[in-house]
Parts: sequence; C-alpha cells; structure tokens
Amino acid sequence: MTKIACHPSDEMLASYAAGEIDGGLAVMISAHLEFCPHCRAKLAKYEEQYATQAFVSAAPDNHGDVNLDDMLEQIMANDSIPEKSVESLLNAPADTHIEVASQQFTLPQILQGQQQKIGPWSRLPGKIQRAKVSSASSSKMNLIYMDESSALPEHTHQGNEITLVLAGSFSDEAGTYHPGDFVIQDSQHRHSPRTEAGKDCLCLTLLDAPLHFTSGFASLLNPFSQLFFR
Amino acid sequence: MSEDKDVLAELLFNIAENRCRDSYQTLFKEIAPRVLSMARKQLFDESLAYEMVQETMLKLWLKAHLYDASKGAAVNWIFSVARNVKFDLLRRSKHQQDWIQGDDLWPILSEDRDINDNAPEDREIISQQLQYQIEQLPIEQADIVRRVYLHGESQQEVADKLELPLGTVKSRLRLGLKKMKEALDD
Repeated sequence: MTKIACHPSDEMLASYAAGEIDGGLAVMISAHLEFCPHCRAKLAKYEEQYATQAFVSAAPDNHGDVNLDDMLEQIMANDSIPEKSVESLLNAPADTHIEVASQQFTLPQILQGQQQKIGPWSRLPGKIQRAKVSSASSSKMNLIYMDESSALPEHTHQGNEITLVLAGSFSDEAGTYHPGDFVIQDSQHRHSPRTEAGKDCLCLTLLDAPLHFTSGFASLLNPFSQLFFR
Repeated sequence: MSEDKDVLAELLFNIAENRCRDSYQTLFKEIAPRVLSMARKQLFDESLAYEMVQETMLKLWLKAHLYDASKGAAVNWIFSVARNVKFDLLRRSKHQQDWIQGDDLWPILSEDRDINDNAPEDREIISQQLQYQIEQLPIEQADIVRRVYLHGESQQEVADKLELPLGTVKSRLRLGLKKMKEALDD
C-alpha cells in the first residue's frame, strides 16, 4: 500500500472530533480515515482530550436539577432493547459499489447504501465524468472519474476544494496522488490534473468547504491551542 | 482519574448485562449534568440542550452493550455518543438533517470498520510477536485473547462457551490487552 502523503489539517480533525463540522467536510474526513491509520490515531487523541475536558475536568451543572430527575425516570421507564441485528437486517445488504465507465468501485462506508443520493453521471470535457452527491450542506460534493490519459485544463479554484482519491491515481504540477490522499486547495493554487496512460482515477471532491469553526466546543481548546494547532 | 474510568466501565457492563437500575442511576448522576453543561456551551438553546442530554442518556441506557473496553476508556465512548447526538442536533437546527448521520460518520455504535493494512509478511511477524506476548499472560486472560483475536470469536460467543458473564470476558480481555500493550511498549 502506498503511503498517504496528504492529510486533513489538525484543525479539521479537531473539529471533526468535536462534532462541530460541516456535514460535507465530515463525509470527506470519514472517508479519509478509512484509508489512514495515522489520522485515526490523531482523532482518538483529540476525542480523549475532549472527553477528559467534558467528563473529568469540567464541573457538572445543576446537581439536583428537577428536569434531570424527571428525565432519569422517563428513560428507565423505557425498557425495550431495540434489536440492533433486526435494524441492520432491514437495511442490509447495503450496496457497496458504484459503476462508472463499465467498472465497479468500492464506495467509502459513509456513502455505501446511499446510491440514490449519487448521480447521474455526466460527461465533462477531457474524458472526465462527474456525479453529484447531494448533501444538505453549504458545500458541493461530487464524484469525479478521470479515464486514462485524461486531463483537465489548467484552472484555479474560486474557493476551497478538497479532493480525496478513492481509487487509481492522478498527477498535477505538485505531484502524484494515490488512494487516501486528501488534497486541499484554495484560490492560490493553480493546477492541471491529469492521468497517465493505462491509469484511471476516481475521486470524491468537495467545493467551498468551510475549513474550520471558531466557536463552540473547538474554541474551548484555545488554552491548549499551542498543543493542537501547530 | 484512571479509577473513575474503570468505575464508568463497570457501570456500563452492569447496565448492559443486568439492566441494573442502580448502576444506571449512578451513571446518570455522574454523566447527565456534565452532558448538560457540554450541551449548553455549544447549542445556545435550552430546549435543544435538554434534548441532547435526553438522547445521549437514552442511548447509554439502551446501547451500553455496544461499549467495547478493548477499544478505549468508557469516558471516551460516552463522549462519542454525546458528540454524535450533538452533530445531528446541530444539523437539524440548521435544517440540514439528511442521510449524513453522526452514528454513520463515527460508527461507535456499530461493528468496527478497521481496515487491516499491514502487508502479509508484516502480519506474520506481528502475529509471532503477539503469540509470544499472549503466552506470557495468565491462563484465563490468554485464553480469551486467543479466542477473540486469533480465532475471531465474538465476546458474546466466548462468554457463552466459557459460561462466564460478558462483563468478565470484557474485563479479562481488557486486562490482557493492557498487559500486552505495556510489554510491547517497553
């Protein structure tokens, strides 16, 4: 397995750990984590920090809160244990693959069973196909398939773009990207992606991704920011 | 602090195995007020904050059996449950709720999705080292580690076969893995 060279920023992983993150960006990071043990380990560290902050260091609110006492009674009255196996049997088997250019590709887990949210495929210039992934998010998500020996004209980005390679590889002026690579580009970047002969590429992309949150739980980290956001 | 973590794990085991109401009350009194302060800091809406507490605490009551001590401290798992609830509530409050769900993004309430990406030859070496470490464990821990990690039996299957409570299987597994980790870190 090729080593993954491009990762989400620490700030993105921290926002993801806190759960304060745009849905589209969360999907991109979830898919990257499937490929990347390095980022999974980092994520676990952030989660541990937040957990300690919330449940060990923090003083609790409202001991003896009446609302909470009522809630405790209500919850314990609820004693049916939902059969998880039944739930998953009803949903299963989720469709795990997607077809494009007469090939089957495994989808990231978060997209498995969501085929009705994907597509249809449309052709772009330069032997490239695109399928929109609808997400209730301010950003736009697409699957991009680049056939072998294809190229996009040089372009810049209006906003931020994240490209996650799912299968195959593509190159631009800065290098070659392999499955799991999480390539972040902003309006400063100018590039012309292309694939080589005999090598195609499937990517998941997110346009105009809000990159970080400055409020809420993540901002609680500020006292420790020198540890986290180097 | 490490004692606290063990206490929480024990409470979760008792809830999962025996539907122990006393354990749940203790857990609730410890955790719910803290989820509430976490919720108030982030949701800026009192009724939404209580909803976060309600949904989180209900999941802890109904899904305690999904906590797996071999994957980390109980407090981390409880945080993840609360975080997932919060993610969904934040999206719902912005009318963005759709197929993107917290429990799918962070699948802590379902089976692990770990991908084993070691090369086969590395796996062979790792497996030999692990075999050696397992042999150093007390017999009852070694037995459970072997069954779960080498034979692929589920913790429930092991509990059934050995006629042990699931909690005992989980805690022996946890102790065994902890010892192995310490030995490997040295």
